[in-house]
Parts: sequence; C-alpha cells; structure tokens
Amino acid sequence: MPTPEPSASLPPPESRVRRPDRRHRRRGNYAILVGLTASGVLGLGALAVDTSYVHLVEAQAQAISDAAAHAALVTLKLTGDVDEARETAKTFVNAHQLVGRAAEVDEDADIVFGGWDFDLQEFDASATYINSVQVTVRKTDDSVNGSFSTLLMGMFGTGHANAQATSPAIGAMRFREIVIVQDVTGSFAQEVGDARDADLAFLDAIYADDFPGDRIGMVTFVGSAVEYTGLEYVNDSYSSIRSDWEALDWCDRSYYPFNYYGPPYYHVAPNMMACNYQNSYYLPYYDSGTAQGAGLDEAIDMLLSSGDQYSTKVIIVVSDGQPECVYRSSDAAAEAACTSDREMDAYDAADWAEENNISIFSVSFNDNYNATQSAVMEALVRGNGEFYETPDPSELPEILEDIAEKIPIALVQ
Amino acid sequence: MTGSNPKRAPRRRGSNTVEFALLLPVFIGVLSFAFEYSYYFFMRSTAMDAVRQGCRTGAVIPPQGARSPADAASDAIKSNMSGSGFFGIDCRAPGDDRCEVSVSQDGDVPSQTLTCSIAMAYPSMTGLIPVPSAVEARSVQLLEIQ
Repeated sequence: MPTPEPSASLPPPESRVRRPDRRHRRRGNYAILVGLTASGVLGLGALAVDTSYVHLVEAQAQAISDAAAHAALVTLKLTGDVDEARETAKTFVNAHQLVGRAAEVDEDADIVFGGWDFDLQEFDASATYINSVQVTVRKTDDSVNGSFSTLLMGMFGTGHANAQATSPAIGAMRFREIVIVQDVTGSFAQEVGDARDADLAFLDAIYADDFPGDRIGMVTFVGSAVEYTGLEYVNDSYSSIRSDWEALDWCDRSYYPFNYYGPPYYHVAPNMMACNYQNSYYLPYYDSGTAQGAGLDEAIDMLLSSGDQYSTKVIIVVSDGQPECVYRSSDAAAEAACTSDREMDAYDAADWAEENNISIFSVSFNDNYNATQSAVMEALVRGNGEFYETPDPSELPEILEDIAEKIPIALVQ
Repeated sequence: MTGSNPKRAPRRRGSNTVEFALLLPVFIGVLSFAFEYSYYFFMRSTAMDAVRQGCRTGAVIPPQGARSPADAASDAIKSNMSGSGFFGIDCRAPGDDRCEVSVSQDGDVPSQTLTCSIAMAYPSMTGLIPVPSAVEARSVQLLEIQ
C-alpha cells in the first residue's frame, strides 16, 4: 500500500507518517489471531468431546467386565467347573456392545481365576484354592477388540485411542456364616426327627460346596434360646457338627432336673438340657412357650461376633408355632401381654438383623393351618431371605437343601 | 493520495465486524458441538451405570421371591436415573414416555439371565448441532440364584 506524500510546505507530524504503517500491520494481525484462536478452540472442543468419549468406552468396558465376572462366579458356584465358568464369562462379554460392536475377550489373558484374600483385599492368581475371578475387557491395540477411532482428535493426528476397564472386575465368593435357629418346643416333638433330618441335609449341602471359609452354627429355642452349636468351619468340623446335630431333640422336660419327681438322669443330648432358662429347677417354666425373637437375638449375637465383616451372614429360622407365652398361673391378661411382647420381640430382632445385613430365611411347619403363625413367620424374612411353609414335615429336608442353594455368594468390585 | 484515505478507512472499519460475523457461527458451532456431545456421552455413561447397578440389584434377588428380579431391577434403574436431572425426565413417572425402562428374564435354569435396557429421549440442548435423539444403555446379567 502506498504511503501518503508529505506536504512540501510543512513537514508532516510523525503521527501522520506512521498511521498508515500501523494500519498496514494491523491487517495481518486478525488473520494470525483468528488462526491461532481457531486452532485452540477447535483443539479444546475436540479434546472435550473425545475425552468424554474415551471415558464412555472405559465405563462400557468396566460394566462388561463386572457382568462377566459376576456370571463366571455364579457358574463357578453352581458347577465348580472353572472351564465352564470361563466359557460363561466369555459369553457374557460377547452379549454386550463395546463401541457399537459385540465385545470380545481373550479368554486366557483376560479371564483369570484365583484366590481373593478378603482381609488384604488382594487377588492371587496363583492361589491353590479358587474362590474368585478377574475379568478385564480392553479396547486397546494389543487386545482382541483393537483400539477405537476418536471422533475429532484425528484432525490433530490422534485418530485412535485405547481404553479398558479402569480396574479389572474381580468377583469373589464371600464366605458364608449361617446359623439355624431351630424350634425345639414340645409341639415339635412328633416332627423333630424331620427337622433334624432337614438340618443335617442342609449341613451336607453346604459341606458339598467345599468352600473352606463357610461356617455354620445352631441356636435352639423354646421360650428362651441357647447356642446349641457355635459357629464352626464346615470343612474342618463337619464330622463333629454332624454328630452334634444327630443328637438334636425337642426340649423334653420330663427329665431331671425339670421333672422334680423323676429319676435323676440326664437326657441323651446334654446340650438340650439347656432348653430351660439357666438350667434352673427353680425356674422350670420361665422359658415356656415359643420365642422366635430370642432365637434370632442369640443367632445375631453369634454372627456379629464372628470377626468376619466380609462374610454373607444368614439366619434360617425353623418353627412350628407362633410367638407365645405359656403361664402356669391362670392370668390370661398377663399371658396375652407376654405373647404380644414376644411377637414384637421377633420383629425387632428381624429388624436388627436387617440393619446388620443379615438375611433371614423363614421356614414354617404348619400342619394344622394357623394363620397367625404363617403371618408372623413370613414377616420375619429379611434381606435375600425367603419364606417357606409346609404342612408336611417330610418336606423340610428338601426346603433346607433349597435354601442352601439360594444363599448369595457373589461380591464384585 | 491523501484524498483517497477517507474512502478506504470506512471500508476497513467494517472488516472487523465482517470477520467477527463470519467467525462467530464457527466458534458457536464448535462450542455447541463440544457441549452437546460431551453432555451426550456423559448421559450415556450415567444411563449405563444406572442400568448396570439396577440390573445387578435384580440379579441377586431370588426368582421365586415376593418381588421378581425383573421388577426389582426395573425399580432400581428408574430410581438410579431419577437423580440425574436429565431434562426434567423422571423415569419413575408413569406418564413420562420419554423414558422407557425394559427388563426381561430369559433362559432356563441354570442359565436364567436378566436383560435390562433403558432408552431416553435426548433433545438437543442448542438445536444447532445434530445429535442422536436417544440415550440408550443395556446390560445382561446372570441370575445369581437360579
């Protein structure tokens, strides 16, 4: 651009000469500025979009890993077969979409079985006992899924990105702590053999699963409750627990010291003598009646003091009656009030269990249908528990075997 | 030559405005694109997490229980999405057809599965950039208790 001619008579002020130069320089400023700014804005926009996209792919990979680890663990629990569990994990990975395509997984490198240490929170792929699985879904250059295309960063030379589950999904079988709360009241006397068979069938089913951390115990109750078998490791103490349970009987008070006039000999199941409050002759009827709440309280105490905060805690209450008090005197009003209290105690105990993540399965043997019993027993179910009822005592073993299969085991993190 | 300056000057003065007018749509477009798609991906992640967690909730429930795994999963997914503040869409509201949660229990023992999905209308926030009209997520879980 030409500069203006200076006037001949008067030298132009400096500003007059320079002004056009400034305009000249300014013209390119905008283009440079716009060019730089546009690149920056475009770059930041692309970065924002593609960062979100990568996070989405990572989240997808994590979700798929979790589902596959959970499925593998369930299969491992049901079958005990690692190969079948591995196949299940693969199937569940394939059932999900990753960046618009069916996800895939390297079944050897990305599905690893091992042991999970609940205390250390560590996975050990070389553990001898398998109780967990680790699944990693990847969308990386070296994975079967390959990397994926970015949406905009290709403009800046970054056309592909890698993503994988932010952490491998680890599914681990929780150890189980189970307490059977067994009604041994006089009304159960005729069917206590079936109840005993049911408890033994349950013990056998848990033992057959062969999980080394599983523990089992039993509480018996009438109007009060006692610990019949403390929490014992099933694998280590199966024989002694079984022997203990084979001696289970109803709370028969026709023996000394309950029978004041009877001969001074003890029942063949020594622990059953504790069915009376403090084994005291002087309080022979203090514990009369039926108190599911007392049984639940005792079982919850056992579970909470087990020392294993990671275990799946379950109570199975087996009863043939509704909560009630039986007084020797004829004070009907006091007896009714006591009965009502026992019912409320049972609900309170169930709520306490729920607060501590303890599930309750409730089994009602109800031969002469008692609607109150049925309603109360059903109302005790908590967490993942279920309600069962039968008028046929011979069905009790089958029911408890069914419960053994339904106790949840999975933990995925 | 000095007389020509007053004629050029007005034309130059307007060039800034013209440049700005030309560039503004580009900048708005870029920002809108970044905003729309970032939020879209965020909502997809949110929906996917809601479906995954909800489906797991159903997958650990006994199939023969009072509440079916499908119902439990459906309720959990809707509840998980209720706090997302997603264009005022409330998946729990019966009449809001902008949110569709679907849960089905398939297969036989020991391979019963729970398939959970969600589809929500995704209205463009700016109306300037074409975006997918729906946010969708899906999860398949094996029932823990067969």
